Amino acid sequence: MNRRKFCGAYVDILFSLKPFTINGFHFSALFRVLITLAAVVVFSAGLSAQSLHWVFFTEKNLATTSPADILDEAAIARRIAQGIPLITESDLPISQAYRVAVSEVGAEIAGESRWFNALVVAANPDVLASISAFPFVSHVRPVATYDSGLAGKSVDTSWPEIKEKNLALARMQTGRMQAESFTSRGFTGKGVRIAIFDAGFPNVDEHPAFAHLHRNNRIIATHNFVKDDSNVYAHHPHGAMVLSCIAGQYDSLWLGLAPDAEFLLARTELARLETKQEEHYWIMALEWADRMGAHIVSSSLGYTEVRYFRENLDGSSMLSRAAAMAVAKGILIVNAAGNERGNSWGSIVIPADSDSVLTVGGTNPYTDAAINFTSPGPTADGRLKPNVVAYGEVMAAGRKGYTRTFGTSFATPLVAGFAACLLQANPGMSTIDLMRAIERSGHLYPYFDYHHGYGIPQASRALAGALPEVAATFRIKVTEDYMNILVDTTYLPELDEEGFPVTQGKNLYYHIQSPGGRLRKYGVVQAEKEEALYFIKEELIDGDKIRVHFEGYTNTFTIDKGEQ
Amino acid sequence: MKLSTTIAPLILVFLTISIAAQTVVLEATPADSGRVQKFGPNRQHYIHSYFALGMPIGRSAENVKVMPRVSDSQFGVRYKLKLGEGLATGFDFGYQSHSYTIKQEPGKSLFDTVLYDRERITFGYLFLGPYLRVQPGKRGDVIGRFIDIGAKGGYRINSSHFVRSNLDDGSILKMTRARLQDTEPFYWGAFARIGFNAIAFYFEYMGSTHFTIGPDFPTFTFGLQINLN
Repeated sequence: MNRRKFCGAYVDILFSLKPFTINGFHFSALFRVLITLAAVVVFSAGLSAQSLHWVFFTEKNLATTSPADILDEAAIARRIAQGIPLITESDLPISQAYRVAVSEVGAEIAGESRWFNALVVAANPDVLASISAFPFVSHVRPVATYDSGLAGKSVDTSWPEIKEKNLALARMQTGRMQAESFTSRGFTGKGVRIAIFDAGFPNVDEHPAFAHLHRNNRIIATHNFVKDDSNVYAHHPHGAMVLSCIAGQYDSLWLGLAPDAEFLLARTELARLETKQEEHYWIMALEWADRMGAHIVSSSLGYTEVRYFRENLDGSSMLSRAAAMAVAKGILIVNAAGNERGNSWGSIVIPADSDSVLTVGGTNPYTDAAINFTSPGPTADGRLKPNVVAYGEVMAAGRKGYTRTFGTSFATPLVAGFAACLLQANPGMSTIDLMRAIERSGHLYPYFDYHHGYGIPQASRALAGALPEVAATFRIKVTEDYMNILVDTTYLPELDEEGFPVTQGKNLYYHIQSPGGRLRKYGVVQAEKEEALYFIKEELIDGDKIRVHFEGYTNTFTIDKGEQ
Repeated sequence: MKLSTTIAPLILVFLTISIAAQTVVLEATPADSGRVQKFGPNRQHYIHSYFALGMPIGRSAENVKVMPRVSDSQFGVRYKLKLGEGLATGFDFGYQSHSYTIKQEPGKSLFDTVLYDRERITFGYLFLGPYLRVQPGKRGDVIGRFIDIGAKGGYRINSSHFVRSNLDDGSILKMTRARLQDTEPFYWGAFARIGFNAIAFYFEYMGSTHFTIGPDFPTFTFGLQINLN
């Protein structure tokens, strides 16, 4: 209020004064306006970041609380199914006495985290100093802000119907994950609750792609954390597009794998141009999803350099730690890898770096290899990311009709739907087991690299729980100087009269893993000739592992120069 | 020795794997993602290019009044050396043009007293400007908010006087004189900038004069700088 009064008075003075000159320096009205504009641009960008702070408390007021008082029935059921304690200290509300104390010194409470036992407050430095002096305050730190991080490349050029040429893509975005293996067994995500964190879900309450969700009361709850109300059916259409990649419908065609799942829709992002986002919305949404009984969180959001350096991709950020806590409470978090390949950031986004997050990259439907924008791993400490991939170009429901769109944003809900079906098939499966099962179902598994993870999850593998027996599709020929990879010629494309392949060659994936475990090099080639790849032995290091995957078959060769 | 240590890994990577005439879909040699980078917007070293447009502030001599139009344009490269979390230094290097549109009103006497339809005097400089930067607040690998204070020196590489008039007989007079006489070959000044990421507002003071004799133009410039990368 004081700031408003000050600004109002300043503007009055600004425009009431006539131009004047001091020591020959001419202060025109235009000059004063420009100076004001400069100050506003520079400092308004910083004010929002500095005004919000986390206040962490030393302990909780451990009053006895019944699980039913703070958890939805579905949350209790989830914890029972996974053998997780019904209630722990982190579930308990923040002490009311702390709230009162913080308010009384002049801070405005803007959010909270039970898991971190912390409040988000808007306060000036003097008030923060008073708060820090409380004996029950552990520490205070600014709320992190980020670039708007929607992992979608383009949105909402909606057509009322999906054209024939795009129908193939709409079918394949689930077909590539063997949707038929799930649907033929009745696995459509029924009984699984999925929370989606996004920037808005406009027209989801009216769009025909989601009519079945309303008809069957599948949208359990909504919350707009940005405005602290329940209206999420407006704003940016990114969330609606994401939802459609789990449960959208076009005629008799499903755009995702879990049309019968239940949904919690949370708006956690503003998504205006370059608007900074605040981490507490995401964390508060995560805790809300936990209390509401979510089994899976689909988060197509990511945060990069405004607050972080790439070496911070080690799982230590507050978002990544919150994701780890969610896993401990039985929630699988499926997060987009990001679209940062080729950008200044150039790597996965936060919180996709967390061990506990199933990070999803994107593939090009036409090459079946990494799409050109998908963020590569690994994490700063060398862990494999992304974990799996799915189509990074999809058909989705837009603001009104349907649209063809790009981004790891849309690969993520495809995998979230996959996870829901697998969880329906294995209701008691722990979150970690679910995550590992999805990794093992990847079409490249046990091969992996930092663009594809373990590949695109395959329903048949996930349901079987074992890898199919595959005959060797390539062999290695070692000569004095080379290691040649010779593929089975039955997999080679036909050649035309001039010797050029008539069709696209099949993908051969390879990597060189250093003795320390990190990949030194990897790639994908389309095998068009029997000798698809060769390595020069002299240049390989003792202990290097060369792993090659071709048409479902993976083989690993360890370099032992002592044997040669 | 240095050359070989730089090139050797590249040769190794190139030679280690060769693809036998196949279509390459992806080839990646991942960097050590945990290694702290030395180059970046909030790293030890950073370089970026920028351009700037500014207006004259203040009054010029009575006999050479300038129009309130863009008079300052710059294209430069900025180097930043991070000294600490909130402090950096560096320098700008680039080309700067001072181009003044002269008001055509009685009393004008620079070069001549003729009133043209348009008259413009331009000076082009190569400049070097060391600066000290203060940066409040925590941030990631971005430039963030900053305030710069610096000095600037330049060497004039071109100057010109352009006039244009529609004559009574319908013809157009256009005349440009280059390499103006009685001009200072060097200039010096000081500047301050306040900015956020790629945008900065700058305030520049010109301590020297353009001409060795006679009247001169406003000594202050206020404008906008935008980073190009």
